[in-house]
Amino acid sequence: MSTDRFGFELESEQASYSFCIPHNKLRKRESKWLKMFDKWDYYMSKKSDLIRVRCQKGIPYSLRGKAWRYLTHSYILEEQHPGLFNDLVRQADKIANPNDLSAIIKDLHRTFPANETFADEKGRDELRRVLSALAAYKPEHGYCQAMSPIVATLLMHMPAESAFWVMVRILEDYLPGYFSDGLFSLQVDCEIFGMLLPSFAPRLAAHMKSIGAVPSVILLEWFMCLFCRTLPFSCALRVIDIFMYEGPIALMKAALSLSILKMGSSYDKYSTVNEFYPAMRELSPEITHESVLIPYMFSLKVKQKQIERLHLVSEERIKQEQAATAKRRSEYKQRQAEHNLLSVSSEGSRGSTPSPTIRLSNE
Amino acid sequence: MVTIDEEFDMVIKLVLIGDTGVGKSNLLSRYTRDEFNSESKTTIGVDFATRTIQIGKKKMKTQIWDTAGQERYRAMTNAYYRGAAGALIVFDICSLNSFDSIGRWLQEIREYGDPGVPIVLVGNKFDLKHLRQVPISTAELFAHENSLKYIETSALLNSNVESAFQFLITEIINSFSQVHKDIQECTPLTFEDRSDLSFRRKCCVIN
Repeated sequence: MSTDRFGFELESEQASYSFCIPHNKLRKRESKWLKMFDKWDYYMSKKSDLIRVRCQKGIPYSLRGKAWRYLTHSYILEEQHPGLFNDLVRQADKIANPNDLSAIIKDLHRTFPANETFADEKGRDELRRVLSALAAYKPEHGYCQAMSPIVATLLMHMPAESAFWVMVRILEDYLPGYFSDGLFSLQVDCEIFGMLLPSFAPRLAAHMKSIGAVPSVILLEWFMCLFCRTLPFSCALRVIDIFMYEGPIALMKAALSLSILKMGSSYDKYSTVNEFYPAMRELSPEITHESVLIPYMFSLKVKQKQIERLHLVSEERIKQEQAATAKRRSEYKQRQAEHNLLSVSSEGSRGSTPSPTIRLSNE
Repeated sequence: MVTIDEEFDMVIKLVLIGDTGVGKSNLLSRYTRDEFNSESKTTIGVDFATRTIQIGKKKMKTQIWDTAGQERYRAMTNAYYRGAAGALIVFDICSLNSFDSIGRWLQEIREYGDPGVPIVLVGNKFDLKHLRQVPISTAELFAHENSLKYIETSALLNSNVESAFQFLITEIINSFSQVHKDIQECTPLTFEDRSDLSFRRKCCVIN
């Protein structure tokens, strides 16, 4: 079966279109990154703007794994905790929640099935090791299915132990509260998106509001999987390069860009949510090509300060919403309990006609 | 919610819910594209697919929302239930755990969905009946106690998949017809032939 340079079948959603950087330009970029690795602390503290620009231009494929480990500083954690990863893998059965471990096993063959690395037993086993170690690392956090494609993406670039530590950094520092029970921070970011959109695409935002389209329906997969299931893989890696330096603001810019590029001028073709949501999933190469999306992301002036300000407002809003949900839920349970009491007292009157059931005729 | 569309006589939204790995995505792909993939990717959030059916002289578009089964996504899924005309709650007949969750899914749809939304309970993976953990009688009893219809399917063998959806759509039409007498003439339900797909529909016994 033919695959692209990342091992994705050419017909699959993630397959990348060729976008070749001239050989000499690539060599130059590689030597620049190698120079930075040698004096990483110096560059991070004194020349971080240079690192930012180089992440924006795209990290050379051969050095991407190392660059992600350096950008997230996970290499320090890895050095500080030798052997911990292997211990966690060995003890996962004892420490991790059994439900998480069985969910991990179920997802192994459902993570990038169109990629040759994970179509293979060995690739899946690496994935299992990293995910079980993560589930054991913080059993109360456990396993969220969206972690699997991210870990798989990391494994395409680095050994299992390094992938584990990069993921620890993502879970704890880049996207805390994104994957844990309640998905609180993810909800906050969806809310922030909703507040930012009107300033970049007022008509689109107004249209979404008028038809009752909620950003989270679209954003959940985009944000939680760092776009690696949404964009051609080469473009997703470029977004992740920027994310590794800038953090979640990169995801916000990518989401705004995709929404505007897709719907900016054609939103009124979709007059109901039933048409709007599926259309948002159909992103053509004219939008998702890295030569289009990445420059567009940088044309949007989204400021970190602005996000921080909106963060407070949306956190408050989500908390209120959660409180309202909890209240509604307890009221619902109470109503149910009262209803059950009533039905028990009139037990004799029900249950004479069984509900119809369709069975297989050959049974 | 049933909406009237210019191109279609009716558009209805259905949701597929149930634990992770019970086969929701394959029921959907079997129903809408007559495809089964043992290595379909995990659903994260929601996926959409549509199929057009013919009911009497009316053309109906069914839009199906295939939702993620992992419990923690429930924090963000209320939007999925809004406006759904019906739901299929799916469990795996070889997984007692997935059957035990049905009560919670039922609560979820009744809480966030429209009141009285028709629901069909689906026991999937009938092809693995030698590994069955949920006896038919148990599932039937549960369905009966909760006033649901129950049907067993195999997305792999293409058994009863058509019937499961047909069953739900019939329920929806019936409840809708009570409100809008004008489409009562539409029953009995006949589904358009999909000449591009060659598949045999299994016969069913309704008891």
